[in-house]
Amino acid sequence: MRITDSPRSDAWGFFRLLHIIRVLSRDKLFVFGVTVVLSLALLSIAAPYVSPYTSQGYGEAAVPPPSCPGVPTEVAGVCPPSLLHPLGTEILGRDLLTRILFGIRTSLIIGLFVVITATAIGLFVGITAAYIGGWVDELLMRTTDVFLSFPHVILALVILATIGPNFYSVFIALGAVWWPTFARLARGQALSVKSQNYILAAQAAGVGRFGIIFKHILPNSIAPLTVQMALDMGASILAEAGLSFLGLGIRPPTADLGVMVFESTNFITTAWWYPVFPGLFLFLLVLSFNLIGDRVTQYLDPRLAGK
Amino acid sequence: MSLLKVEQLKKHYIMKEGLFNRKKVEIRAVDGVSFEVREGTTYGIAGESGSGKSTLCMCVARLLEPTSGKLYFDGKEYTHAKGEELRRLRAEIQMVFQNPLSSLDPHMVVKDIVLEPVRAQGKNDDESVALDALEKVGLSRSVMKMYPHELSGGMAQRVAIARALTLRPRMLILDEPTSALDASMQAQVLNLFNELQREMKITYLLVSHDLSVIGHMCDSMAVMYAGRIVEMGSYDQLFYEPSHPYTLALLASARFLPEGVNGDKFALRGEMPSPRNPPVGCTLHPRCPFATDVCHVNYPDLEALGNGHFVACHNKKNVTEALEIARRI
Amino acid sequence: MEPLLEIKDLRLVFSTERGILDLFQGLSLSLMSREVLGIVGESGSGKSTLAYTIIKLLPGNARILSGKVLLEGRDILSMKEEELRRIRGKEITMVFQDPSTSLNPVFRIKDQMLTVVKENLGLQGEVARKRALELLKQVELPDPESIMNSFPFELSGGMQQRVMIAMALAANPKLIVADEPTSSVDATIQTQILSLLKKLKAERDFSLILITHSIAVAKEVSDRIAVMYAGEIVELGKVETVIEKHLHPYTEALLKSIPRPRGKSEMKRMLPVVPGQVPDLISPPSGCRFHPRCPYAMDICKAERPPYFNKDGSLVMCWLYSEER
Repeated sequence: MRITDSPRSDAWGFFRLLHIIRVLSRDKLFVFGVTVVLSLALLSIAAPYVSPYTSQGYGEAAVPPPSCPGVPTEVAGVCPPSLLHPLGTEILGRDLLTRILFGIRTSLIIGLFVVITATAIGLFVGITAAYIGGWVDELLMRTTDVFLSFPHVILALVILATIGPNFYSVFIALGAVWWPTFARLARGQALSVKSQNYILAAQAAGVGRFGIIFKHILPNSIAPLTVQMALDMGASILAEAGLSFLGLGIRPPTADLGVMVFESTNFITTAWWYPVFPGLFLFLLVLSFNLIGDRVTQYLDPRLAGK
Repeated sequence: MSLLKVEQLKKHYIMKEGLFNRKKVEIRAVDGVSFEVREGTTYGIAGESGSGKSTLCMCVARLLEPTSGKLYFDGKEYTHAKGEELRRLRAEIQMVFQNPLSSLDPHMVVKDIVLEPVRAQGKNDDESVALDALEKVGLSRSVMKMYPHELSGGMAQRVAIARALTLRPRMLILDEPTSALDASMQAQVLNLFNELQREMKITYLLVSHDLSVIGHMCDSMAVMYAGRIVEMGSYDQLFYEPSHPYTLALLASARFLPEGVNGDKFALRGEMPSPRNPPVGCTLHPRCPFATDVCHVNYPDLEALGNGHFVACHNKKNVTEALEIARRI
Repeated sequence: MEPLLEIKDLRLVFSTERGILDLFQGLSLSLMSREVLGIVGESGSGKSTLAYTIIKLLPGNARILSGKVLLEGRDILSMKEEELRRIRGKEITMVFQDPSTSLNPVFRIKDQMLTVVKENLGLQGEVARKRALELLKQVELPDPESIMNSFPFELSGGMQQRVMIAMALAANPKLIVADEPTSSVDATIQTQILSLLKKLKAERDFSLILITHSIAVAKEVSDRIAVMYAGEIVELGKVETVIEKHLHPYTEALLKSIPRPRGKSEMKRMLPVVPGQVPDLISPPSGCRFHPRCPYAMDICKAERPPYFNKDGSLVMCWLYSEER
């Protein structure tokens, strides 16, 4: 019976995604998440052009550090918010807002990279396993299970401790631990696509193996992964910040929210703005990604249909 | 001359059972099936779900690898055809599936769907090819840019048929082609098949659980039960001189017995046996009102009754007699 | 005699992405007690929605604009959840199309049967068990004891559907609504289930609404048949009348379009088809909803929705039967 006309069909596709976005544009929390993510991304991209303290964003210290008379702080560089420094300054006297914006850049770049790498590896592994099946499937999926049996961060810690912390190691470590989720998802999706009759129809028409994978299975498997990508952006940003906080991730002088929170721990009692602002932005960013993912999942959950 | 010839075709699956003591169970989905289809005719295969008729289709279309047996198309064996040979064969045998929506890729537009076979075969993929095919199935140019979800069930099935026609195949395998369609759409699609056959001399292998569709469309037919053909012959033979209890029961349940014959006495008891442990002897005996001792022991061979009519039943005489008596009353 | 169920001038719409879908524009129907009514229609005709309206279980985007559904004089549509619960599963029960998804896969048949028996009949312990076994016997399940201990997946589709029927019978309902009860099972099993329904109808005291897309199925068990098209009951009459002396052009077209085996040695022929498709009810045709596809359409058919005309004991919604003609 066609009464709702919503494309809540088994088939996933670009159009379903468009439809979802259209429906969700009426959802306040979803719109909030998207707005925050977009504006933070724009701000961080624009940071080098709008901030007067550009060089500090790239790690150069303020020379000399600003003095803030009348404010008793342990280290001279840490000043409270003022007109010149809206969010105050940090340990080396650098403008906190600039550092935060550059930090958001790092977070977004790493988040995107991790999620995209994970999706690519996941798609490759998942589709290969689903399409070939048999022992290849067993081997790939059991390997995936091994990776999944460790918590993401712990496994990343082990990898980082082995290859040593730097900007690229964080990519590698997080990408390496994130793909199994996507592999599982891609395999499930590819399996369900594979059982559709249009795959048989293509086979019957004489389309070869690669034609079927690239023209039918891949395009029909990607859409649900994009939801998972949104969901995992928040998680991977948080994981990266966690690793950096522990000193195993991004190292100074690169601006990073995790590192900033770590550096500020000594000032919690004396300079509240120092830990609060980097933490607040990290919170906002992760919350927004999670809201986006959460609303999309809610929409897709058939049990919540019609509400 | 026959266009398609199937000889002793078998498709067995090995299933593993149990968690620790992994016992292997052989499932005989298709168990020694032979038949021939003449060019330009429609051959029907009737049977309920689990009879193996869809597996048979997939083997004939070479979408499944048969376990044993031989397949011939136009006199040439293609049981194990590979590569280029198989690809060329695919241009001659096309298939139309049961559920029209799931047989169309949701992210492709109708034009690309219809042109996929010619592209795969490296043939002319001009828009005109798609237009021609769509016109044949009674669709207009306006559907070319539509996505499957924008089509109704009947239109989607027409698109699937158009796709199957672009390569000008000599044979179409139709696996329950109208069972997902409403009555008026079904009539339109069945008419389309008959028109295409008249115009293009296409041969059909039509698989259906619906005897009214088979009875409307087919020149000759076979009835399958639990992986085997229990009766085959011409349309007239099977519908008007049925000699197998199962054929009789199918006709009775569809109310197609001759005027005045009460079908209730031919009804089957119970349900189709699990393919994991089929009954010993004739697979129908636990349900059959005509079963005798011998049915518990041996599976009957397909025996010729003359004029191409074959039946596999130990008690075929009792069956025809019972029908004769019922007719007279 | 007072009818058991009466639907009076029901107007129901769905709000969809594309706009308001106008399904029922004033639908009326009555059902006597112990009567079996077959409702036949193609998909989109609204036959299932009608079934769900009777127990007021409608999707969130359905809106009832006006009308009444009276069960022995009580209006179901104006009832609160509390009252509805007392009616659903007790006075009105349902049998669904797909038994495999209607039975809970993690509980044995025993548990599911006993829940229904205990809740609806207030029986306990051994008495409840006896009653459940009796019900399974009534639906002609072989070896009810072992069925009771089975999980749903251990039963075949036909057996599952019998269990569903037993559960629907448990509370001695006044009305059973069966939504395509045989369309997910094979032909030979379908025959078995239909003859079971016929037997139960003779033995027990309930009315049945049988929703189906197949006239052949409706013919087997019904006393009367209602033919639905695009949200309207276009013809309602005794089975024989509807099948043999049908009045409405749609009924005629529907019956003719069903493929039949040919006569002996008869040539293959074309089926008479209804041109076009079922209308989109977002913008339904004016007047009679069948007029764009009707071979007998007249001017008045485009202008005005036909009322019911009474002819040979049947009700038909078609201007062809107007007195003035």
